[in-house]
Amino acid sequence: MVRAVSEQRAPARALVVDDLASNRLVAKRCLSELGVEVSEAAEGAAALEALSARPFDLVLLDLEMPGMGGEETLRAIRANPALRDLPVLIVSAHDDVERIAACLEAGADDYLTKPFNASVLRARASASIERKRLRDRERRTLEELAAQREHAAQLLLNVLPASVAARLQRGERTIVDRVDSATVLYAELSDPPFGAREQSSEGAVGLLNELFSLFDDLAAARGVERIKTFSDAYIAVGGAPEARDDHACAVADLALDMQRGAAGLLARRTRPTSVRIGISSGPVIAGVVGATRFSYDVWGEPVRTATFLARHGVAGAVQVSGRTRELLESTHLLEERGSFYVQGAGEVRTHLLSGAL
Amino acid sequence: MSEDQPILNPTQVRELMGDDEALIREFVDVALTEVEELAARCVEAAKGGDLAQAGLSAHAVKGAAANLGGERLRALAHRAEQACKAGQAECVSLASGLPGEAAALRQAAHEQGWCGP
Repeated sequence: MVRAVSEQRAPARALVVDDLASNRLVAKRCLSELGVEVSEAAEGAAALEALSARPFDLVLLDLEMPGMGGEETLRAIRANPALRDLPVLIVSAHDDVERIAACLEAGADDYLTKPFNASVLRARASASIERKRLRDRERRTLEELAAQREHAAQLLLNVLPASVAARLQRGERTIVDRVDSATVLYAELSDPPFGAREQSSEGAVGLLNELFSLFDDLAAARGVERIKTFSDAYIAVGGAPEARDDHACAVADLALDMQRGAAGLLARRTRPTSVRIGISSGPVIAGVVGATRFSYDVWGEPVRTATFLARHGVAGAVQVSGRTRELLESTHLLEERGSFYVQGAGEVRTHLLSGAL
Repeated sequence: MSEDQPILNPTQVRELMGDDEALIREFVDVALTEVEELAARCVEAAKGGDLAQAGLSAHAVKGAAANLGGERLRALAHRAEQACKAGQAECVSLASGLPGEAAALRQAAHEQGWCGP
């Protein structure tokens, strides 16, 4: 007993291609018993047209037809990538072995000689349709998997630098890089938005979102990596993960961009505020932390010093360490401000960045 | 052609079309009409020397006759097809026998109540 192939799902569709109406009638009757919807074509060209118009699950193909014959039609079907997996069952009065073998080699899935036994036709048609549906399901699953993998990769790119995400995807478990020379930028608002009486929570978050989105765009334009934000602070690094000789210069230009952009944005507040920025250069450790929620971060003396310089900086200005000043001497305008004791770094001479040369 | 072979094997028709008499009648009517047209085309082509076309028509008669259970017609069509392919002189006489055998098949189907005379 051949099981119907349309139980509890959309009915399968078959295309019967034969120049004789009586043959099409016989095939239609046999397949209808399986619950298969049958369309008809009297020759090859009409069959190809029907196949391009809607999806089918099976083709029953005669060989001798006026116009485009069965073999030519079969070759055209197999040459079309969209029809590559479509089962084709040859039904012909030709019973010579060479011709049967040639059809199978050309891509036919099966071959039945006329007069065929109706039960055998149904069994072979049913098996072909089932195989096709399994292949379709497998292809859909693979497509879904690929889409999920792409989505995961995209999510990874949202939180990690592209080169770091690529290393994780290649299977690197631990990513720790010693960077000989990088420049760290630490920025924060001189007057934090939270707690201010005239600022609602929604307004404060909205402001930070607007400000940090602007900083992200500016950092991307300068090729500087945003590391993270927390509270009203924004941290970025130049020279990691991709090393570059002009990291201090790029970060200094970014700091100037950020001050200009922030000035326009923050002037709209009821109680005007501004951004303080600290910059320091030196060796850092960069790496990824987290097993399921990844975070790219940098550690080292420049991070501590940049944080200190921002917190003890001047509203609306950019304060840089002595090491950074040395790297900016030929490219930027700097004014000496004084010196501070920074824990872990000792005495640090600082300068205010006033522009590019 | 063997006289031992039945003109019509009704089991073949029922095997393909089931027991729905209306469906059988529809099928037999369509198939016999095609067989008669193809047989006439085969004779014409064979007499005109177009053996390729005669062979194709004989092949089609063979397939349609097989579905109808027309075993004698099928066997004759097969011989005609082979003779046409081989370019044998007897293909004309074999093809010429097809219309008569098709008529005999119609008569046998008529006796089954499946078609008009």
